[in-house]
Amino acid sequence: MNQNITLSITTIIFSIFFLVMSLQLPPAKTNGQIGPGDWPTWILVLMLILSIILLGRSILQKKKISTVNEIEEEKISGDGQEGENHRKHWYVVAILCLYLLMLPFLGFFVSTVIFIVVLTWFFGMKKWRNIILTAFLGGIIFTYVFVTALNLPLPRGKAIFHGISLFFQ
Amino acid sequence: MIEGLLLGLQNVISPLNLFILFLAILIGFVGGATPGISGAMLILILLPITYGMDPIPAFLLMTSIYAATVYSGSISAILFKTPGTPEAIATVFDGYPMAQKGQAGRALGLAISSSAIGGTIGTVLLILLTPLLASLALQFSSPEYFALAVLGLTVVASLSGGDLLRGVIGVLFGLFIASIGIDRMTGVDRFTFGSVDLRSGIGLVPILIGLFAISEVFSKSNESAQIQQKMMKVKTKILDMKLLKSLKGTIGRSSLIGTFIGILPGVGATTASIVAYSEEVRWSKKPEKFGTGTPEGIAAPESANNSAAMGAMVPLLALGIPGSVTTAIILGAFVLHGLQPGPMMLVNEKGLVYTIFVGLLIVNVLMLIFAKPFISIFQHTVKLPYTILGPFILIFCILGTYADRNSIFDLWIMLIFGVLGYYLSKIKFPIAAIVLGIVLGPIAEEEFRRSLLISNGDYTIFFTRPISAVLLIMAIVLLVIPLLRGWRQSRKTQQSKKTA
Repeated sequence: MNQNITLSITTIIFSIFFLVMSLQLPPAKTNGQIGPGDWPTWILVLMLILSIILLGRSILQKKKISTVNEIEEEKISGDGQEGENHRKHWYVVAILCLYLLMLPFLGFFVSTVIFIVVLTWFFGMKKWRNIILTAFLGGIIFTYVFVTALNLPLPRGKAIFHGISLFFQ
Repeated sequence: MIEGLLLGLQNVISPLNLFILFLAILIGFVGGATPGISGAMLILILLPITYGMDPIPAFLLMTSIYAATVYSGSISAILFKTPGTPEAIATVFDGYPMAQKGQAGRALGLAISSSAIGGTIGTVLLILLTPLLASLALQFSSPEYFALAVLGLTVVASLSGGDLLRGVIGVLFGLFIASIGIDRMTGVDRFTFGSVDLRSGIGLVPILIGLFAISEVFSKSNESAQIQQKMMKVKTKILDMKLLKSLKGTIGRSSLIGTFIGILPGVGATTASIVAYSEEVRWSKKPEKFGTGTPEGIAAPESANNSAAMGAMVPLLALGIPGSVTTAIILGAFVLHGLQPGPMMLVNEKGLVYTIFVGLLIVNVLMLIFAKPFISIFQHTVKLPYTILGPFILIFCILGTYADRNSIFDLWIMLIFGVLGYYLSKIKFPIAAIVLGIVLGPIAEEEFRRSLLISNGDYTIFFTRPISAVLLIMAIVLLVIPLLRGWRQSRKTQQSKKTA
C-alpha cells in the first residue's frame, strides 16, 4: 500500500499547484456563465479531495496490515514477481532523451542509426557486424518509407549532417 | 441499411482495399500472436502510415487489424501460456492445458473457429444496433451530449479494477490534461507557462503512444534475457464440425454476453472474455473440468472476446464514445483524419461506416481461411528477438508521434507519458481511466458551458430535458452501485471476522 501513499501525495501536490494557477485565471465576463478557470478549478478541487481520502485510507490500511499477519500483507501488495533488473528502463529513457536532443542537430538518419546501434547493443545483441547492419538497414528503410515515400518532414540536421540526410533520402 | 451494405461491399472489393484487408489481417494476426504487441500498439504504430491514405482504406486497415489481433492473441496463450494480447488472458486457463495434453492443434482450431463465430455474431449485432442508437442520438443537443460524456466518464467504475477511488482520480487527471491550452470559448491561455507549444494543448497521440507503447518497451527492457519460445510442430484443424456442434450453446451464449459487455462504454473485450469464462463455469454440470483443458473453456472466452471487440465499436460509431482503449485510439484516428464519430457520421460518411462494417464481416470469414498459413508464418516471426523488435517499436512510436503535428515537443510529451505509464502500470493504476478523461474532457466541458449559455446560467437544464436527465441518472447509478457493493462486502467481511 506504500505505492498508494506516494501516489496520493503526488496527486495532492499536483492538484494544489495547478489549483493556485487556475484560480488566477480571469473570471467570466457575464453573470451566470462560467469562466475559463472554473471547469479546471472544479476538477482540481475534486481531485484534491479524493487524493486526501486515498491518502487517509492508505495510511489506515497500512496500520491495519502491520497489526494483522504477514500473509494478508503479501496478498494486498502481491506483485513480487517482477523481473531481475528494475533499473534498466532508466537507461532506455536516457537513450531516448539523448536521441531527442540529437535529432534537431544530427537529423533523422544519423541519429536513428546511432540510436539503433546503442539500443540493439543494450538489449543484448552481441555481434558488432549484426548491430551495424541492423542499424544501417533500419535507418535506410525508415528514411525511405517515411521521408521519401510519405513526405514526412523529419529534421535533417545542421551543417554537414544536413548533407548526409539529403544524400540518404 | 441494405443499400448501405451494398455500397460498403462495392468499396471493399476494389483491388486496393482488398489488398489492404489482406495486409491488415496478416499484420494483425502475426502482431497479435506476438506477446508484447497488442492491437492498441499496432494501430498506434501504423497511425503515421495512414495519414497519407484516404479515410476508407485507412480505417479498413485499422479496424481489420483490431479485429485480427483479438483472434491471434489466443495462439501464444495456447502454445506458450503467454497471452499475445490482453484479451486472450482467459484462453490460457484451458488452452494451455489442452496443448500440454498433446492436442495443441485441436485447441488452436477450436479457438479460431469459435472466434470466427463470435466475431460474426458481434459484427451482425454491430451492423443492426449502430444505426438504431445513432438515430436516437440525432435528437441530442448540448445538454444531452454533456450527459452522454458524463455517462462515458462514469464507466471508470468498471475500468478501475475494483478501486473506484483511484479510477476517479485517473479520470480527473485526464480531464485536467484535456483542459491545457487555449480555452476555445474565451481564447484565454490555460496552464501553458507561456509556452507556444502548449497553447494548442497536449496532443492525444503522444499521450496514447507514451502510455501504451513506450511504457511497454520500458517494462520489457527490465525483463531478463528474452525467453526463447519453443515452437512445436502443430497440425491445426480449423473446422471440427462435430466439436463445434457440441459447443453451440457455449459459443452462442458467450457471443451474446460478449457483445453486450462490449457495447457498454469503457468495458472492453478483456473483461468480456473473463466474464464469459466464469459464466460458463457457473452453468456447467462439471465445473471441476475447467482448467484441465476442456473445450468449453476455450470456446467461451474466445467467442466472447471477439464479439465484444465488435460490440465496442457500437458506442464509438453511433455516439462517438469509445467502448475500450483500442476503440479510444481508433476515435483518435478518426479525429486526426478530420472526422468526428457520432450520430452525424452515419449520415455524412455513410460509405465509410458501411465499408468498415462489411470489412469486419469479411475479416471474420477470411480468418478461417488464412489462419492455417498464418500460424506457420508466425512460427518463423516468433524467433525475431526483442533486441531488434524493441528499438524498431521505439522508432515507429517516435515517427507516429512526430507525424501527428511535426513537433519535437510532442516527442518529449510522449517520453514523459511513457515514464508515467510505466510507473502507473507497475502499481496497477487504471491507465484507461486517464485516457477516458482526456478523450471525453473537451466534449464534456464545451457542451456543459454551451448548455449553460442556452439556459442563461440555469443549471436545471440538465434535468428538465428528459434524455439528459435519464442519462445523468444512469451515470449516477453506475457510480453508486460499485460503491454500495464495496461497502456491503466490507461489512460482510467484518461480520465474518466477528463471528470467527
